[in-house]
Amino acid sequence: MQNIIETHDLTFHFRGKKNAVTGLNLNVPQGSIYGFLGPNGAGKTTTIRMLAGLLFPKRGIVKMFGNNISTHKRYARSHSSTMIEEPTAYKHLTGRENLEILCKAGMFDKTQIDQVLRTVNLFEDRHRKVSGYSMGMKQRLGIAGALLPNPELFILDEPTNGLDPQGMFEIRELIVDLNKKEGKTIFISSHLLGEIEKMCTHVGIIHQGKGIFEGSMDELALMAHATKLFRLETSEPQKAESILKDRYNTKLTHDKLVEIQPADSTDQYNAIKMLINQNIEVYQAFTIKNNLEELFIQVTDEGQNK
Amino acid sequence: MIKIFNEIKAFNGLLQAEYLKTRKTWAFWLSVLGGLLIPAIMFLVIKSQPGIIKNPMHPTPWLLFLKYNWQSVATFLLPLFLVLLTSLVVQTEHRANALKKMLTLPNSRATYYWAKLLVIIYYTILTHIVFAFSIIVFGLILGSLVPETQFLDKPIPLVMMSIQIVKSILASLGIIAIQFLISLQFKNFIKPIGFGFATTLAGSIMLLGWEYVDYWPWSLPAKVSPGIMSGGSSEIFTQHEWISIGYFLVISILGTIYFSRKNIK
Repeated sequence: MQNIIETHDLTFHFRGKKNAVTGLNLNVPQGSIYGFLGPNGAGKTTTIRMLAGLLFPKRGIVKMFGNNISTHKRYARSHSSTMIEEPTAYKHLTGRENLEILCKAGMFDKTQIDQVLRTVNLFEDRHRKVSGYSMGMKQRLGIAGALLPNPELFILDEPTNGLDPQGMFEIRELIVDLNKKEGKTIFISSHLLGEIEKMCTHVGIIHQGKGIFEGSMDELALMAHATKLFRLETSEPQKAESILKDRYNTKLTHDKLVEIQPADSTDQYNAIKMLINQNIEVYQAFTIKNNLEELFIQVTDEGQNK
Repeated sequence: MIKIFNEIKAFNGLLQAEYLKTRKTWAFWLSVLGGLLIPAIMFLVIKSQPGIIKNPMHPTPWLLFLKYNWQSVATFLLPLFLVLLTSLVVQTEHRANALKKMLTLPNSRATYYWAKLLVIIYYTILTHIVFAFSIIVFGLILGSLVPETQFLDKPIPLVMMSIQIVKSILASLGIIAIQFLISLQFKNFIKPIGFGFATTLAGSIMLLGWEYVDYWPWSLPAKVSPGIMSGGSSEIFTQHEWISIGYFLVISILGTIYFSRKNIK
């Protein structure tokens, strides 16, 4: 599979500040829904602004459709569509007028306007001024604007921000449809793992400006499985931790449970036995069915410790 | 060849987009009302004191009326209008969070920069035309309300008025280029307006007799059109227009290069 977006060693910092993004390598395969995941402030928007050509990398390159965007900017832009953070909206104009302006400025097909307004459920409100729109409606108008040129690649920065659950659901459906029915590639950022989990085929995780995981959703799930966690509730958590520390990768959770990463069931049995031999009372012991949420926290925790 | 044609098409599209964006904003109304304001005030003044328009040195009331109007406008109000207009047009973009969207469309940043600049010039031309048109209308009304002003008996100096407009627009270009770049740079509109207000004020003081005032962009409009009635040159291109055009070209070209490389937050 060919990569539609590729970055190599992408690095950026604002003047006089520390790096916002450091040495980031992304590979977004054609035809994927790529979830770009990270907590707030991890460098997602900065990265997207570099992909969009708004920020110029201090180091490294961005390739889109196989070409470096610094030399093939126009091609990249006329084949992709970007929506960044709070949507663009001229509040003194109606929803429809806003899209008309985009059509003029980008030389898009004007006859598509009504169609995209219907797609994002704004057709009824098209003659209302945007100043009277809710946050969710503005967001949907932004998405309508991104749909207008009907490009091969969509780059969407937190597109479901400010939407209610119903709106989120509709946008997810829309994104999956675009991908499945029309074969579009969609690069979508989010700080919500649940959202990414529901629709993405690939995922890249960024933390403190560094890429800490990239792969297909299956690979992520596999990794989640590989890092099973075993937690014990004991009478003396601190002591238990120091006992287990020698043999296992151990940690004390915030609710005073001792957590280890066992290789297999024998490890689990041994851990319990060690504690009981030291006269520590073990009240309960359980493995965590490691969902992605746990993994996400775990991975970002590891990123922090590095 | 096709590339140039595409570029022109893109430019035309952007220009229309810019016009649609600003048509229903204060930028538009400022241009219209700004052009009307001084002729309307002059109308009221002369209607209550027709004496000031009668001057044996001037064979026609039109020239004196023009002089009063231009003198009231050119030193302070026109530069201030340009400062406000430029900020308003750019502010429309900042307030809509639109830079990041507009600059990811297929057009180059340079095309965007010049389309916006051209829309500001368009509104500048509009206000000048409204200004001249109001002078004519208010003059004719004065003539019919107060016949001794002789506005109806004397021909309207259309040629001179046209020359004044062109000269004044050319002399405005320097201010527009500088204010545009500053407005684009700062999201907070207080900064370009405060700057423009200060430089205009400084210019109006310099006009009292600083020797290099001819090179101060914010003073240039005052140096061209109001002077024609009292013996100034009525050539379209004099030193002052060239200085203004020079500022415009140098600042706008440097501005385009700067803007094309700027990191857009």
